[in-house]
Amino acid sequence: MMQVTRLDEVDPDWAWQPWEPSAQEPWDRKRAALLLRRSGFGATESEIQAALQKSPAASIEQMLQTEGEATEQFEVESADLAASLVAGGEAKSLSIWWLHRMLHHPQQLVEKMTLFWHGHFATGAEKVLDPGLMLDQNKLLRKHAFGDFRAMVHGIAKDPAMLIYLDSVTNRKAHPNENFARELMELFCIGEGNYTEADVQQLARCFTGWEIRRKNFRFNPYQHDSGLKDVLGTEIETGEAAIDTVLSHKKVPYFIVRKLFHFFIGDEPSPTDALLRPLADQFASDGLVLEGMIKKLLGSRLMLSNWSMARKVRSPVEMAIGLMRTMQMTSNLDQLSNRLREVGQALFFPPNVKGWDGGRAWVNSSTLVGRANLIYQLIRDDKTRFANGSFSDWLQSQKLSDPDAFLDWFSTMFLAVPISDSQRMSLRSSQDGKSEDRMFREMICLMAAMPQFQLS
Amino acid sequence: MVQLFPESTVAFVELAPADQWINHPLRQQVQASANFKEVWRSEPVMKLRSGLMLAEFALGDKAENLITKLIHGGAAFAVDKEQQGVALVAKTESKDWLESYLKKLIKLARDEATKKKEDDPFKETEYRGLLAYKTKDGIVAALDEYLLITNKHTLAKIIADRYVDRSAEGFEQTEQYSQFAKDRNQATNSSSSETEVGWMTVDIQSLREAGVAPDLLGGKAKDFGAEMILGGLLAVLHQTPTVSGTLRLSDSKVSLSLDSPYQPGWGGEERVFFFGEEGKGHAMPLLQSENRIASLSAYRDVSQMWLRAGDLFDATVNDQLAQADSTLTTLFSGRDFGEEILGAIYPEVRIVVSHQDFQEASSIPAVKLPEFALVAKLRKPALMKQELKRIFQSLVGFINVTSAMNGQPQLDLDIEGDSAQQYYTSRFVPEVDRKDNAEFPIQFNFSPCLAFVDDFVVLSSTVSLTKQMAVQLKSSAGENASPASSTAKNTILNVQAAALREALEANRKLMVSQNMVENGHSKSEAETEVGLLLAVLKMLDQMTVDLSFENKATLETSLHFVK
Amino acid sequence: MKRPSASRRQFLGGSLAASAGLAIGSPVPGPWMQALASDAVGGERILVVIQFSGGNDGLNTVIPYSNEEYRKARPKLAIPKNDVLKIDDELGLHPSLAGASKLLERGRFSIVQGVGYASPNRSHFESMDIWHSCRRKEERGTDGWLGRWIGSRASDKQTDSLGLHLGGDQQPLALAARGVQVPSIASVDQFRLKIADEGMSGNAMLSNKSTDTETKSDGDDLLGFLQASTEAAVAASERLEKALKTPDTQSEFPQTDLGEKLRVISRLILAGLSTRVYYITLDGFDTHSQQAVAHAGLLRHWSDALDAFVRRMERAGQADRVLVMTFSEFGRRVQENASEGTDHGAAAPVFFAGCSLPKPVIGELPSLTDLDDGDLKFHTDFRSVYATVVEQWFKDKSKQVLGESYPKINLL
Repeated sequence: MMQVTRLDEVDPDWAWQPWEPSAQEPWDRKRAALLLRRSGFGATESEIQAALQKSPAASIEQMLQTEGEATEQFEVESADLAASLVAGGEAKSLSIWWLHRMLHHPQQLVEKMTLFWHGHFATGAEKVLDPGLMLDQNKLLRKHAFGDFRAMVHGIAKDPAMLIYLDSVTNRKAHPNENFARELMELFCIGEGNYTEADVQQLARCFTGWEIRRKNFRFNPYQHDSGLKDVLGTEIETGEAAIDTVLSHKKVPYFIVRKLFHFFIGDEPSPTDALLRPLADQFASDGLVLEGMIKKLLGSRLMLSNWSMARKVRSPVEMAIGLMRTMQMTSNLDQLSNRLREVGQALFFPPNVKGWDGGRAWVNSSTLVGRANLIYQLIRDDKTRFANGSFSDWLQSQKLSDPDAFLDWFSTMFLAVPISDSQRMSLRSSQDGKSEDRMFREMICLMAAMPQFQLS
Repeated sequence: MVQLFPESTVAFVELAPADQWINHPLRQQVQASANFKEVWRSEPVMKLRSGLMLAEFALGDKAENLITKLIHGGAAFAVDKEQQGVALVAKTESKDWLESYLKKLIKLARDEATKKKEDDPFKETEYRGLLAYKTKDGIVAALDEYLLITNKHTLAKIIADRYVDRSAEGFEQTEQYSQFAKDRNQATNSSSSETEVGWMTVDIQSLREAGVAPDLLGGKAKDFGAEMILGGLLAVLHQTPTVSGTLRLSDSKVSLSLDSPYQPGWGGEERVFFFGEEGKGHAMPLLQSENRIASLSAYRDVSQMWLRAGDLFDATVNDQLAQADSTLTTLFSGRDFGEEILGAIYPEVRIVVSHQDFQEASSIPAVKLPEFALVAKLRKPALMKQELKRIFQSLVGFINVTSAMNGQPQLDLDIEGDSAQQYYTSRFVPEVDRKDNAEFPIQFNFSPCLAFVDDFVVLSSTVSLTKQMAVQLKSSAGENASPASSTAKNTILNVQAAALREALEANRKLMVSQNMVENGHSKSEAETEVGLLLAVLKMLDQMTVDLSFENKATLETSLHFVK
Repeated sequence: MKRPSASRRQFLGGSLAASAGLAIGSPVPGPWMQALASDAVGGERILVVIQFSGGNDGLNTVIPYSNEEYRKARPKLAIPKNDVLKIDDELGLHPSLAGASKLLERGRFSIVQGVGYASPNRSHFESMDIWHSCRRKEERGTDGWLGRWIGSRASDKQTDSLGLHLGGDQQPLALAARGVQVPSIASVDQFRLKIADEGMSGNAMLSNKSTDTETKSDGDDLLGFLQASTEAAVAASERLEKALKTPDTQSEFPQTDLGEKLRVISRLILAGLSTRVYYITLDGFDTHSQQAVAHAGLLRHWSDALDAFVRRMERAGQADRVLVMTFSEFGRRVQENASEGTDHGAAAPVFFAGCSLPKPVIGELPSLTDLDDGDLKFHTDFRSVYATVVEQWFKDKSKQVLGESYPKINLL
């Protein structure tokens, strides 16, 4: 069995084969926790136990099933919640709605992938304003979350929220608006350096006459430049054909697969094209349908290897929802949403069209202190409950009332880098003479200020 | 019990012996109602009750009996100026009962601490033959049959000394207490259908001199809204030596009345807006409406308040007001907001808030807000009717322009009615290409409307409420004729529980969502909690607040239960 | 990883020497030394931007008191000659600007006259976006001029964010960058570890070196990065904690929203945060009617807070590395309107304060008679002002930030 030490030495053919347990890398609670927090937002002890009863491949297969009684029931409840929150007219409330989904949705991979696409096709409600339009876009992204990428791009190209965000509400043939055309290639499909400025200008002409009127997409033939355009070396006329032309660029599968590598496996270093080829090839041969490629990626040797442990900086949402799911917490989501905004991840309010950069960009002295404070406030909020009950009852029911047992359990379930002996000593030493409830709460708050708390 | 407290007492509250109120007819009546039974059997209350039963089991007696024995001879609570502490004294059934129960309680608390691995919370001591337990935050002691709880050890000593030495000089001999006792006796003789169960007196002057709550008891106002609603009360608190209060029970209500001495002119020139000239500012009778949630009538010369802001408020508020004045004057097409807009009406203002049932509406919004109307008399009717009409129209135009820029619905301006009574109406128009299944946005709660009825102006959030007000003003023309035909009260508020409950019920879905989001509750937990709130409201009939300044300043609040 | 710039190297040389004791054998990489060498606050130049939202009336801020045209155009709003705080024989400051006037006398305040841009847009949002992005709507990207500068300077070694927006409102477009996220903070509390309230020190975490765990093999590992960042954050939080305990700074700042924001900034600077750009806004300048009192109040808030801030910096010996720039999206019409206010205009002054500013007034007041549709004509493009800030203050290239080269003004 091969041990990965350096990414640039990994054999691409080996990397994407289905992972199998070995003596050095057994299918244990720690590895199951890794899979469940990368493919979702963390898992409870019983979910980990359930995953251990079957192979990783079988778990992933189950994640891709979007139907089921639990899901259906949840969707009814979530739709009610969305309707109520949107009725207030505030886009900020949508963020609460999504946090509720992430916390309670039985099919975690759907929400995780939708979050990926929200960052990919980043659209900010501070400019769109109408929460209904933001919700519609979110539904579009969720519908295709691991489905047909082509359909998703065609949908996004006519999505009112996206076009409002990119100032493309009007697009006249005399003054083609280059914003959407540029982002389509640079941020959505191909990546910088694989097209020319002339391609941007030609592509922009294809989208003339694509307008948003009264919150709906409209094609205005009088403003459409019906001449032939040369985009990426192909002669085309319509906007739809232009999207297909962009999607047929050979870099598209690599561009998307690379981004998913960073999203699921590791923030750095960036993998070579050679390493990504098997995944990109599958994505291309599936006609840009995502499901097969994602299944391959999640169940791969590389994904579940020791190498991928602690390779990702948790986003604020992953950190908070992850902790809450792991410890079966519920709390005031309105407050949580505000605090997440303070540490840089307000859902539906990405910082710019490039989305959240992730990795080291999450970290600076204000966000690190902010993260520790966020956990502190969450743990102390009197609305916070554990499996609908008190913290001490929960600890008892989980048989975690012993501090060392708790730290071991927490380390396995939530941390990618175990708590060191010196850390354990200082966590334990500051706790003398305090009540049990307070001692455990403080331990979590102190851990939230530890470097490895930020790593997934 | 009053004899136990030293002269330096600044606030004193007394509760009547338990047998005078624990089986009051009001309680029997409330407990007998079906609505109470619904609440009593609801899930959260059942949970509380099972907790209570466990406690009763541990203490070996029913809670009701325990209270009766604990407050057998009444209870008193006092704040002491010199020790900066508070003390609670209850006269229990007997010395033996108190000592045995105290021991039982202490043991239970100690057991709990041991279970939680905490230190022993109580330290047993004795003082002049009296049993006492010290804790981190205070002391619990038994003075024969009297139970004493206080947060200051020094205060505990003073009270214990007074008890043992039977001291004579104390709070009882102060002028404050003797005046309080005198007033209390007079009041008791005057009313019969009500039972007095609690009394209090607070030495405001001492508190003021000690610099307690400086924002409340002195200085310039820092909040515009608070000044408008409570400015007169603040003026009283700035001047009065004492405030006293009485809690009463009757067959259908609980009421609390707070009294203070009062002299016209206490508010000074700057608060004439609140008290009126020579303190004769009186509210008009309350207005009625269908599904009325609240009706408010008050004397407030807001224009004068706005123009006197320089004397009333500190510099920060005045800077904000100057900015607001600039913005509002722009909004009201160049009319000076304080002088011309607010100054258009007499100070007797009335506000009605009602639940909207949307029965006739074709566009029902997802969030259902109550409707409200403001009614006041015009100072220069002939001139102001024209002016206000134009201002209303240009305001609607202004809203339309702003809404158009933000993609919001538009108002349609119209004139309804006949030559006898005209209504200047505006209604939101549904978008032509709206999706059928989409719910209407929050704007559809409003159809702003303006009307003039005789010399009154009615400004309302809906056309229908405006029309109701017009009918009412006409039918009761005599009663409403002049500000002089008044109530001798400064402010009257009445809240109806039934309509309030309907207004909440109409938004039940939203409340459930809000509860889920804010408390992290599951849907069923949220539904139970919202259900309980609505069930509790079913037990209530109405709440009233009256504020008057005659020989004394009185604030009376009553809570009426459904019979 | 980017190489440190010349100025950064120079600075590090100095500060490392000062704290050599700490550096030897320390596992903390070089640039963090700046954060750790606590009391010796010092280092790179800082820009504080104050945005006047709504369109400030430049003519009633810097008043051409001896100009008859001014009095003709402002029959009701003109400030009486005897009330202005005179700068020279022609110009004077609004009477509310006593603080600014004192700064000006000490050579710490400067006015750049006639700033604007060609074919001015009179919509608040459009004009503000133009000032923020330096671009017209058709060509606008999603980033702003300060964001572009921050993006060009970003490096792994920068543990404190380079830019910071203070305020609960929406983050200004000027700070938006592709690739870097600038934090918006509502209060200074966001820099304080709340576990300190429980009597626990974040320092406990500093001892929690996870060095006994396996090291990662792929070059720069994330754990090491987080370890160092956490140390820097805890150190900054504790310095701030210490600074917050010094009560005297509380009283000297006016108790206004702007005063509070500038007080927070002064504390962050004095706590040694390596943030270079602070951004705050003051709203309420859209004075279409009853302008006189409202405008005077706003100017007083600004001037008093500014004066307190610069004095605080002077006392700490830091004034020469701080530049405060104040701008608004446009000025107002020359002619007052019928409701004792003014409507949206065009060119207006931009203000600087802080470091040594030798020239009190830069550029002429545009003519009050040769107008562009009733508005003052600009003679200095706002991007020239920005270019001066980037090149002369930050000592960086301005073309990448502004898209083109613009002539510099004679500011410093």
